[in-house]
Amino acid sequence: MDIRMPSINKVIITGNLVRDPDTRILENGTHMAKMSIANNQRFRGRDGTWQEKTCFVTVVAWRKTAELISEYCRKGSPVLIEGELTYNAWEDRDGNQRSRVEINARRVQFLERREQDSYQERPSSGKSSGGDNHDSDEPEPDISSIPDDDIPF
Amino acid sequence: MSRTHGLPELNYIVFSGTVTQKDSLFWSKYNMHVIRFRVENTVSSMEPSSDRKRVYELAVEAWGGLAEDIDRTVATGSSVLVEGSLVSRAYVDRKKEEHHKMIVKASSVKILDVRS
Repeated sequence: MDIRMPSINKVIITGNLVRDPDTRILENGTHMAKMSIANNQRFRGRDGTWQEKTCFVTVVAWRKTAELISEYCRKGSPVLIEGELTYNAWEDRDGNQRSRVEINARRVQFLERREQDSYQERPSSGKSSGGDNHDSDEPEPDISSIPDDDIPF
Repeated sequence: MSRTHGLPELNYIVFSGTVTQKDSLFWSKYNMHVIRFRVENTVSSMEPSSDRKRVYELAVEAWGGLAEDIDRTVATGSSVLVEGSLVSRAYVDRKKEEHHKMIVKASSVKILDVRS
């Protein structure tokens, strides 16, 4: 039996939005959100002092996840992104080949603690968004990321 | 163990693919070996009957002993599993415009090739 090599591509990253998300509705009605997040990593330098490096990552989300991002994320919002790394190549106006690595978000958790969370922890989700279908491009939102106010019961 | 209340510093990536390019090992200014290579990751359709595929090529960098191991054991065409973190590098182009390039800094590289 011939064995096919497994294809794995997973990213888990936290960060703060560098600016407000860029959200739009495509011609076919699909919601899309693009945001840039800054991931800070602290490390001890050679001289023993703590230093910080920032990694800027572009994240793209679709459909319901994009709508929720549009509604709840602003510049500075802390988020946890689960998704896959994608690579886009294109030609710019001057005919130069350009490329960019970005994350296609499958699941987004909004980490900003609201006032009522200070006395009542949110339930841990542990629930998958079911967004592992690489062809659907349709990640479902993380249930824990929807504010309680939006639950109609 | 201390409890932190700040944003957890998570930055983790794992992906598999084929090594399409491997540069020579070199010394960094920190007196450590560094190696750079590129890995092509192919995402196939979930449906076995579908031919739909997407191909991504990612730049990977490894340091120290890991770089030396990769130099010895990984060849172009090898299938690998890479674990690491995303790192963005800023650079200025000829027009003096600043750009950011993203690479994967590997913490572990496993060879997936089947040994006969």
